[in-house]
Amino acid sequence: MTVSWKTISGNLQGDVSYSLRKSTVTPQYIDFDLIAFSEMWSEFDLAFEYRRDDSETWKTDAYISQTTANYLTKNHLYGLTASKSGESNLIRWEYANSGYLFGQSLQIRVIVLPRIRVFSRANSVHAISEIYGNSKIDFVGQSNHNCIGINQSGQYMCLGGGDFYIIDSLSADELKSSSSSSYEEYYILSGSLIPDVTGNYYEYGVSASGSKSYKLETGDWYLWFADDGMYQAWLIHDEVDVIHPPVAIWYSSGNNPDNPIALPTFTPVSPASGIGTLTLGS
Amino acid sequence: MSNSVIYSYFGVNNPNYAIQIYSGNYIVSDYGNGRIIELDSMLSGIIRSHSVSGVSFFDYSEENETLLVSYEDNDLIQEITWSDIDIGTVIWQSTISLNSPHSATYKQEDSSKIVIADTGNNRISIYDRNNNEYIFISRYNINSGDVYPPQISMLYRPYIARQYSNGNICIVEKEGRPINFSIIESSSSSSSSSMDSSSSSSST
Repeated sequence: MTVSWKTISGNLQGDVSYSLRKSTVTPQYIDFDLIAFSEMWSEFDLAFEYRRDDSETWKTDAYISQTTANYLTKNHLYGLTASKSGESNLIRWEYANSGYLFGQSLQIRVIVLPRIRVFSRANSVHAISEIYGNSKIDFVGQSNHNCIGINQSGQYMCLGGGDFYIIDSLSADELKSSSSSSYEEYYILSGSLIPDVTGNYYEYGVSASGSKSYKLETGDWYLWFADDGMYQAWLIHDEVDVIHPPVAIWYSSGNNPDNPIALPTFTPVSPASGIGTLTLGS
Repeated sequence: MSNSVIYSYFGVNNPNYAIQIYSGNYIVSDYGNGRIIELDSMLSGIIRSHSVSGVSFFDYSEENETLLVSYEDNDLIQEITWSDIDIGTVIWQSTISLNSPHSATYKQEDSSKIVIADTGNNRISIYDRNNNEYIFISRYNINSGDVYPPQISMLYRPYIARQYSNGNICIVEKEGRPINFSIIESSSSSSSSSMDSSSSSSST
């Protein structure tokens, strides 16, 4: 079955750092402990090569008998682990099989192989997968968020119709919903919470059953855009239940102060955790 | 770990691409408003803004403080300044016939090489500004060098392409496609450039 999907964005592996040190050495093999660090990748791939000295070309036929990688193809190790704090990976090279003797001086090197993270869309679902090796694809996850990349902290960068935002999980709560609205859009100019309109309510975060509410904090500017293009602004005066509408009114067209749009009715509800919560009534 | 939105910025209209640069700031294509903006790391405000329409993709050079901007609908790639000193001055643009190029990127650690995913032409175009030449790649080996004759596959609507410092190129194609390995053409005397470590995207 062929699944139709469309690529949205892609990341390339680029921030894996590692330290490679030998641990156990026997006349047959040598164990390498590769500790890998990355903010953006939990798995990565590398090639293991060796030679006797500078007079030789690098050889790719290392006999690797044990590893913590998920897959091993010749000298390519796929699916080694990395994390912010570092992950330990085992690579056991049977150097005696290559004709080398215990105590002999050798050179080895590892090369991080390309791995591509693809952000794609299939129907209405956004999916993330990683492509590596010749034909391997790992499915990372899916989300309702339109993720296009990962930032330096390993968080997802996402696009909305009118916003750009960062989430820490693919299953992050919806910041906004798209149910029918009598309002065009709005912003909080200096606040950190940007809820969306659903019907006659504004919604964000946890709310009591049957009630949709969101949080505003002192000093937030609340800017409301109406269908007719006019917009109004309110300053959230304190944290609990007071709003002073409006402190300023602008008109996007016509500049007609004699024809102000009707104000919605605000019904304060109990604050939560010291932060004011309010419901916008119909 | 919380399970929520960390930061958000609502002053955009149908944004279609964004990257984070080394400073932690974000550069966002505000497509609907016809501009590229740079937001601080907490998305609390605009640091830089440049009016430009039709942007589909961009890459940033930390070394030169330039943006490599792709205009898919205009079949054009431009390199513009993006620094405290100057914003938006065009310092280079593509001079070949492109067909809906979705992306152009700098080669890793070498911004003199520009890799263009020439989506509509089903090829990769690599521009070398040192000698002002383009190299075109439209097919690649799909097996390792010890299998003879080599099996060749054609690029199909490459979407994003990046070149590593070692010369390898990674390609993401735009849409999934089924591959029937029994009918893939083979060639014993390919004269086109081949690539190691390329990755075609198919999903079955």
